[in-house]
Formats: sequence, structure tokens, C-alpha cells
Amino acid sequence: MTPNRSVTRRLLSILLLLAIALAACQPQSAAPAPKAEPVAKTDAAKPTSAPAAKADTKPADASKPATQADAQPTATGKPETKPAASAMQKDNLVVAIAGEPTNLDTTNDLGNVGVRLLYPIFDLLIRRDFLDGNKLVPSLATSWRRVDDLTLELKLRDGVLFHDGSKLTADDVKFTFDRILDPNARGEARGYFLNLEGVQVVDPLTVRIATKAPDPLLEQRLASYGAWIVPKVHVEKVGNEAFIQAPVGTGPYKFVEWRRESQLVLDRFDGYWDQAPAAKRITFRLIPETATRVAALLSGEVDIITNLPPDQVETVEANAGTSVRSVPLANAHVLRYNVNSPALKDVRVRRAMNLAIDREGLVRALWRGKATVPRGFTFEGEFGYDPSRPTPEFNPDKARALLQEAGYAGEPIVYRTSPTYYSNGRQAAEAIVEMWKKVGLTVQLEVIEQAANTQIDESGGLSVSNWSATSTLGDPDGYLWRNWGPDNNHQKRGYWQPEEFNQLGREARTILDQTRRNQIYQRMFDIFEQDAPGTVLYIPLESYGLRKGIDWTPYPIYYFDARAYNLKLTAP
Amino acid sequence: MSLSAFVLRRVVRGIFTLWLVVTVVFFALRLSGDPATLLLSDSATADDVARLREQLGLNQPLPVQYATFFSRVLLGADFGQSLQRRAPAGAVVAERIPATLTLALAAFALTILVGIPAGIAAAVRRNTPLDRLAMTGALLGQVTPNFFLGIVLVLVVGLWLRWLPTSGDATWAHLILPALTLSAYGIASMARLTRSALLDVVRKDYMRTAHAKGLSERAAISRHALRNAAIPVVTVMGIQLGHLLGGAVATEIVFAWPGVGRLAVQSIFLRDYPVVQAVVLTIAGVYVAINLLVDVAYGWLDPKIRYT
Amino acid sequence: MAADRVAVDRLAADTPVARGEPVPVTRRPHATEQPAPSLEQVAQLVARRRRTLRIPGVAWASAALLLAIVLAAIFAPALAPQSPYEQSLLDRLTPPAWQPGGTWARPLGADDLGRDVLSRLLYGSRISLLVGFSAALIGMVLGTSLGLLAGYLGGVVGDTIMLLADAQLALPFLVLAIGAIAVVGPSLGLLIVLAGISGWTSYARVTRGMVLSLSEQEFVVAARAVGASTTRLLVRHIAPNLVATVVVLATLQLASVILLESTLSFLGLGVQPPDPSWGSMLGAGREYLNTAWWISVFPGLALMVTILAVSLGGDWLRDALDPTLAHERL
Repeated sequence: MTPNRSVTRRLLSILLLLAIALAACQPQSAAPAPKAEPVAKTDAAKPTSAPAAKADTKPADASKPATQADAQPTATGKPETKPAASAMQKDNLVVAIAGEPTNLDTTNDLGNVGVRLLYPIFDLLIRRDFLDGNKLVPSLATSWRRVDDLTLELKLRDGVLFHDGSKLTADDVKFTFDRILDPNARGEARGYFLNLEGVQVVDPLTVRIATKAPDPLLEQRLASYGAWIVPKVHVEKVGNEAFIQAPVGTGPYKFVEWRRESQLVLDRFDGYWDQAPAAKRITFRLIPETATRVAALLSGEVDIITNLPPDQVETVEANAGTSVRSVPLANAHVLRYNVNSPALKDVRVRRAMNLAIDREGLVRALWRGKATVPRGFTFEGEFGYDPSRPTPEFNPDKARALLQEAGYAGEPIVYRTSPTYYSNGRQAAEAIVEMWKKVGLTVQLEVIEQAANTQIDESGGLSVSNWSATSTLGDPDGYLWRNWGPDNNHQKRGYWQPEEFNQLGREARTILDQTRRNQIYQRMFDIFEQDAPGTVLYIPLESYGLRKGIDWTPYPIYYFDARAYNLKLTAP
Repeated sequence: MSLSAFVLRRVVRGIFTLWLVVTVVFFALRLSGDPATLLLSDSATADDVARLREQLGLNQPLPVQYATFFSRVLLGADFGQSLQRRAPAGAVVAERIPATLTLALAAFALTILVGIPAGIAAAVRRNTPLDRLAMTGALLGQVTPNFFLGIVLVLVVGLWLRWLPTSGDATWAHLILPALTLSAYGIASMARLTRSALLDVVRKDYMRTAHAKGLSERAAISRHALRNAAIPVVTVMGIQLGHLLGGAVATEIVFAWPGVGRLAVQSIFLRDYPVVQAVVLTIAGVYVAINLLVDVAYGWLDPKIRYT
Repeated sequence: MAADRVAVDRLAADTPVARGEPVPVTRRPHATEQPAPSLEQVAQLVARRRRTLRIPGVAWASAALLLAIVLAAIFAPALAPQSPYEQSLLDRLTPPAWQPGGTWARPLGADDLGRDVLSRLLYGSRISLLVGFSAALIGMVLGTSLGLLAGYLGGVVGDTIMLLADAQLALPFLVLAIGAIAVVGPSLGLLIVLAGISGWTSYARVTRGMVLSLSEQEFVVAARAVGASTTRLLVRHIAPNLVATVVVLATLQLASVILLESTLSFLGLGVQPPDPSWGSMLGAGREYLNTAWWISVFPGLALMVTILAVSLGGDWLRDALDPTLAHERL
């Protein structure tokens, strides 16, 4: 079919008009409008007693009853009366997430996207109170004590129900940890509990947890990844495969349905042992595209969004109906190197690579200055932090000199990254590749879409990949040892084999003397910097967008805590 | 030859093709990389990896793996367990099929309901501004990459105007933009082809007779022309349906539509062999079936084509 | 267009000669002796009849457009304001010059690493054209040779080749390509090879059909009896007819190859960063769609314009070479 000349002319003019139209047609607001409400939503710790005041003022007002009427948390979390059905109860809180885990397995879906969803469904024996200085508070266990160096005894709370109606007993606790330690299981959680010997049932509400060697962090481990308590009878009945697709726990929300790549629906559990949470239902909707996710928040299609990049924070803050909550993560973006790849064998080359990275520049450009370059590999406020330790040095001249000294002859370095897994991961990778090229390195970047990008693939001589280190315990044992120690694939595959580092790490985990532990960790940090099996980039600031009327505090770990003390719904 | 012989030949070829495709995919996957290491976390030992490989049957020699796989598929449509999700691969694929089906059918419906009337209207009012506009639009529709169209729709309709949602399939409103994107090429093609087929028929002698008899243009077209123009148009419809599958991959990715195309891409990256095999078999099967149907329909409509 | 390509395949495949079945040996079939008009023929006959004047306008327009794109690709270094790799983290997400915050140093704005969009657009045309032409060439050579083989040797070889074609057409080629790249890893070479392979089937079908139909012709049988060599037959009789068809197929394939490359790059499987490719620029810009739409939109427009130019040119070429093709292609 031959279009005639005039059609062609019209076509070209339409194209031109289209281009002009797109160029001239501006999006709603390019510049941030002056803030209508100067309310700063940045107070991190929400004292749980504050909302009680509101409850007093409007006790029986049907049009605006405060959900806080029931927010009377007690020290032991005694179950309160159920909240009256009211207009303030959010029927469906929709949270837009950027990624979802493969399953809901408490022992294996422990990446950022997994723990976020597991947190409302399950409870831990001990809870880390992020709103109150990371104190350890009772949760499923009401009290605990060290019987001896190797044993911890916990008393369980009575009257706790699982979502299927069965009662929590010591058998469930034992089953939970047997499941974690099962050698046939594919569980990542085993790596968090390598020191665990086993669990002994003393009576239906008392357990004893034994370790192989003294563990200074046992309570922190019980309050962290993988230690969520699962129901023995139910899991045995339906089988593990079915259980991880439709989990049952003791948490405030029970599983309703999960349409993969679409949404996960959780309903409020009426038999919850602690006070009832504000939202009747939570829907986690998957919207992987950033721009779409932000638009969904601005249009009201969703209530909360995760993974808000720094570039978009202004847009959300400027909008009248939305606000932003940010929190520095207990997580650092790092690079890891295969020290046995031909290009990186020489430690001077690796040190040069580290020296060539302008981390502050990356923070300024990619994070609008909101990320932090850490002091060595430490997190402020955690064990092992030393304000006198310097941040990683940026010195391209020194890098070039080192490369020359090492006789670097242009061996190619292959750097593989995922485009979306880490915020700004691809951009940082591209920028870092340029920085390395500037000092004379030969680098090749591969950007490959992959759901789990924590593996270095030996085939193809891969030398560098992105990674992140989550500090799960508030202690270097939880990230430095767990990720870079001998029990991790990184060492097992031979990417790094540091003898002194391993020796020190083993010692630090089994002694209770905190001063000595601190010394050990300082030395290990030094080794990490000198041996350069990788490097720290920055600690990202994680931002979330919320619609007005939702008062929720994000944690430095990716948990989505919708419990009553952390999620409150004010006037819609 | 008779219709049934013709159909039989086609069916045999289709089956053979399917077998070839699945076999090639099977071996290509196996020879490309080891899924066991991808599946386990960083803390897994070499023993863990070895044990997993054994569990998954990856230790067997390739021909044995192939024989096992084939017998399971033929006997019970059992594709094994998804390596990632540890659920039956067939079920994993099956749960995504409705989404793609919905999208493809919606796009197909649009292709027919918009494309054909547009072509007819353009033919009836040929050489008028309407005709020119329609044909211009059709040309645009055929040269725009569908993922770009999707992105422009997301940008303008979803982000600037905020009229429609653009991610996932939570409500019926979510279907609109993906269906439009997927159907654009088809609508354009259909419009152009309908117009040309119709115009060709219009010039035939019997149409002149109808005019001479005093029938209005419109009556003449609807009574005579359409019926005759139908044959080539119907044929192309079949081709379009097949094409929708290919276009669906990019569309599903742009709109995060939880369909089979997106699943294919993801599971290929994750080296989730069972799911890849199941997906490939499904997509190829549908393609082959559609081609078969089109061939048969064509052969039925036009018996001379059967002489092959 | 892609649909046309498949239509050609289908029609080429569905004819007696393509299947190698005996056909009444006659002189070259004349238009009036054709079987019932197929779709493609209908379209062409209509086109020819509707063409009241030979319109060079379209041809000129598309040729000019293509020339402009090729020139842009060749002279990119001179035309581009800066290197497409030059990052400037402080100038990230600069809008196009005519918007507030824009600058004429970066006329079409900057991407998320501060690289100039116009420069990347110009250099990106190189990739598109390189992949496009190379792939068309590969497809042409591969397809024609296989088609000739299938036509001449016939039998098992011919059938196998046709079955391979069927198998490749049994899946959307995109899925095949994604699989291949996932297996081997992304690289420009693989991309070109894949793009080349994507189109061989059309050439093969058509060539085979042509060989088969011609080899049954009386004059060919006679020539053979007299002792004419295969090569001579090929050169004198088949080649001339083949050229026209192959050229048209190549232009049709060019458009679909450009589309394939850009789709793969869009998915992150084609050209790898930091090399500029329109498809990957489009994909990278998705994240910033609501704050920096120019990163995605301009590459998309460039793609549209290029595919338009190629398609229009191909369509016109096919219509211009019509007389031969209407008979021979089937």
C-alpha cells in the first residue's frame, strides 16, 4: 500500500508537532511548591503513650473516633479490647513494593524484600525495639535468663495463638529451630545460627537454647533474621513446600492470598496476642517501576510506597497529599572482588581501585547528599563504631601510582550488576567504571536483570559485583563475619582467603569480653581495608512515601512493622 | 487433496516442530550454566550444592535427564518443580496464563473492533481527510515500537494526566493501556489491509453492476464487497493473533503485567529450567496451534491452496 | 513490516512449488492464470491499480530520511556536542534547552549520569545502523544459500531446512533471542548474529520456491538436457529474479531487525552500558519517566523515524519491483 505524497507530508508534520507537543507539555509541577504543612514527619521515635491523649478527647464520636483509643501498650503487651469498627479503621492499606521474594519462607527468603513481608505475619521470641534505642523487649518470650555460658532459658507467653487457632507451645519453638538447622533444608537461616546446638523443651512454656560455644549475641540473634516462630503441627501437616507459599504465624496479620507479581493480601488476625493493629487489611502491590510507583502514590491508588529514590523525594514532599519518611539504613552498599581473578590478584590493584572511587561525589550526585560514607565498615550507633576511624580515602593519583607499581598491564575487569536490585546500583556502577577507567583500569560493565544478584558467577571471569551488607544484629558479627567470613560462599569459592581475619572472627564470636571483642573487630576492619577484598561505598538513606493520615515509622532494617505501636491512622 | 489429509499433514508438522523446539531449549539450558549455585545463598557449602544438584537430578547424564523429562511431560504434563519457587512448574506457568490470555484477547478484540471498521470507513470515504488521517495513523502505528508506545502511554496517560493506572492487573482499568499498546500494530495493519482489500473488490465489475442497478455506495459495499473482502482479512487475523504473543513480552514488561511473557524472561535469567521448559512449550504450542488453525481455515476457504 | 514478512512466508510456503510437489509444467504463469488471489497479491494489485501516478515523493522522502540518518551516524563525532560517554554527575537530569533549567550545551537534556542525550542519540544511530545492515546482510546470505540448497538438493536436506524454519517460527523470535543471550551473555557480536538469524526464513522460502518453480520450466529442462551447467542456470535464470526479491526482503527485514535490537537493548540484553543504543537509552530512562522524560522519549522518536524511513522505502521498493514479484514470488 503506497501512501501518497500528501500523506507522507502530513505524517512528518504530525511527528514534528508531536515532538514539540511533548517538549512543551510540562508535567504538573517541575519546581516544588511551597509546603502547605510545615509538619515535619521526621521524628524517629514515636513514644507510644502520645496517642493516648487523643483517645481521651473523643471517646464515642462515631465520625472521628481515634484508633488510638486502643493504643494502650503495656509493658507486657496484654491483649486489649478489640477496636470498635469505625471510620478510622483503614479497610485496605495498600503498600506498593518494588520487588517481592520467591516465597514466604522464614528460613530462606531473608533478603530485603522477604523480611519486609515476613514481619507482619510472624513474631520473634525477643523483639528489638527500633523506636527505643534498639532495646530487646519481650515478644513471644516474656522473660529470659542465662543459665550458664552455653544455655539460655526463656519463658514463653501464655495464650498466644497461631493463625490457624492452635496455641503456641515450647514444641513450636523447638520445631522452629530444628527446621532452621536441618542439614537437608535449603535454608539461608542456618548461616545465622551456626553456633546453635539445639533447643530443649523444659515444659510447655519453657525452653532452653544451647549453643556450641559461648555466644555474646544469642539474644540479638533470637530477635533477628530467621528466628520467627512457626507452628509445628501445621507445617508438618501441610508440608514445607505448601507452608512457604501460604504461611501461618502468630503475627498481627494472617495470610489471605498471594497473586505472584501482582499482590499479597494479609488480613488482620483477630486472635492476635498483642493489641490489634490499625489496618484491617494490608495489600502489598508489586509496582517495580519507580515512576509508576510514585505516580500511584500521588494519585491515591496506593497509600505507602517503598524504595523512593532520592531524585523523587522532592516530588512526593511537594505534593499536598503525601509526605516522605526516611531512615539511614543499617546497610551499606559494597563492592566485592574476586581476588583470584587475573586482574585483581595483586592487592595493590585492588587498593588502587578503592582509592579511585569518589564516594562523596557519588553521594552528592546520586543521593542528593543524603547517603553517608561510613567510617571504614562500621555503622554509627552499633558495636565497633569508632568516630576516629577515617572514611575511605579518595586519591586517584595514588591509585595510578599503585597501578604502575603493581605493573598492571590492562587485564580486563568484568563488573556485573543488576539494573534495579540496589537503589542507584546501576548508576553507581556506571560512574565507578568511569572513575576506574580514569586511573587506567580496563573495565567492562554488564548490566543484567536478575532477581537475586548476590552471586558472583565464576564463569566468564567475573571480577566485581555489587553487594550489600545488612547489619542484622547491631554488631559486626552480623555483617562483617556473616558476609565476609569463612562460612559464606564468598570465601568458600575462593574469592578471598584471609587467615588472620578468620581466626580473629572466630574468637570474637565466642567470648563475652566486650573490650577484647572491640579490639578484635578494629583489627578485622583494618584487615578488610588493607587486603581490599572489596570496599564500602556508602550507607544509603532509605525513603518511603506516605499519604497524609498515615503515621508509620520505617526501620533501619527493611521490616514493615504495621503493629499498633508503629502504624497509626489519623484523619484520612 | 481432501481437507482431512491436509489437516493431518499440518498437525504432524506442528507436533514435530514443537518437539524440535522443546528439545533444543532443553539442551541449551543444560549446557549453559548450573542453577544449583544460583539457587543457594552465599552461606551454602560445596556439599549443599552437590546435594541440591542430586535432588534436582542434575547429576544424571544428559540423555537420561532428557528421557526422564520427556516421559514425565508426555505422561502427566509434569514439568518438575520450579527451582525457585519449589512449586510445580506447570502450575507456576498455568497461574500466569490467564493474565496473558486476557491481555491478548483484549488486544485482539481491539484489533478487530477498531481496525476493521476504521479500514472500512477509510475505504468508503477514500481520499477524504478522514481516509488520510486514518492511514496516517495506521502508518504511525506500524512504525512505533510497541515498548515505546507503552512508555509514552505510561508517561502521558499514567504520569501526567493520571487518568489510568499503569502497573499490574489489580483492576479492569489496569487492562486498558497494555491492551492498547499491544493492539496498536494490529489495528494499524488491519485497517490498512481491510481498506485495500475492500477497495480492490469495489472495483470489480459486479460492483459496477450494483451501482448501475441503483444501489447506494453503502449498500453495495455491505451487501457485496464485505463478504468478498473477508477472505484475506480473516487470514490476516490469524497472523495477528500469533503476533500478539511476541509483542506481549515487551508489553508485559513495560506495564509489569503478570503474564507468561514476563515469566519467560525472568525464569530464563534465573535458569529455572522446569519453568522455562514449561513456558517454552506453552508459547510454542499456542503459536503452532494458531498457525495450524489459520492454515486449516485458509485451506478450507480456498481449496486450491491445499495442493501442497 | 513484520506482518508482511510472515505473510510472505506463509504464501511462499503454501504454494505447490514451495512444497516441491509436481506442478503442471508450463510456460511462466501469466497473471490471469494465477490461482485465486492471495492476500499479498490483492494488496499489490490494488496498490498498482490505485497508483494513478508513479509517486516518487514517498521514495524521495524516505531516501532522504535514511540518508540523513546514515550521515548522522557517520558524522556523529562532528555533530555531537560532546562525547556520549562523558559523565558529569553535577549535570544529572538536565532538561532540554527550551525548558527551565536547560542549556544549549545539552540541547536535548542530559541523562541520569549527566551525559548529553543528543550526543548519545547520534552515536546510537551507529549501533542501530550497524546492527541493522550487518544483520540484513547475514540473513540475506544465510537465507538465500539455504534456500538454494533446499531447492536444488530437495529431499531430506530440503525438508530439514524447511523444518528448521518452522521450528524457528514456532516461537516469538524475541523469546529465542532472550534465551540465547541469557545463555551466552550479552555481546554486540551475538546481537548481530541473532538479528541476522531472525530473518533467514523468508529468504529461504522464497528462494527455494523460485528454484523449484524454475527447475520445472520447460526451457530449463531443455537447457539441462543440452548440457548447460548448474551454475549457468543459476546465473542466467534464477539470479536476476532473485535479486529483486532479496532486495525487497532485505529492506523489510531491516526494519524488523532494528526493532529487535532495540527491544533487546531495552530489556538490557543488547548493547551494554555505557555504549549508547536507542533501545537501552529508552530502558534506562524508565526510572526517571516522571522527572526526566527526555531520556526515554527522544531515543524512541529516533527509532520511530528510522523505522518509518526504512519501511516506507521498503514498501515503495516492493511496489516498484512489482511486476516481476507478483508472479515470481509465489
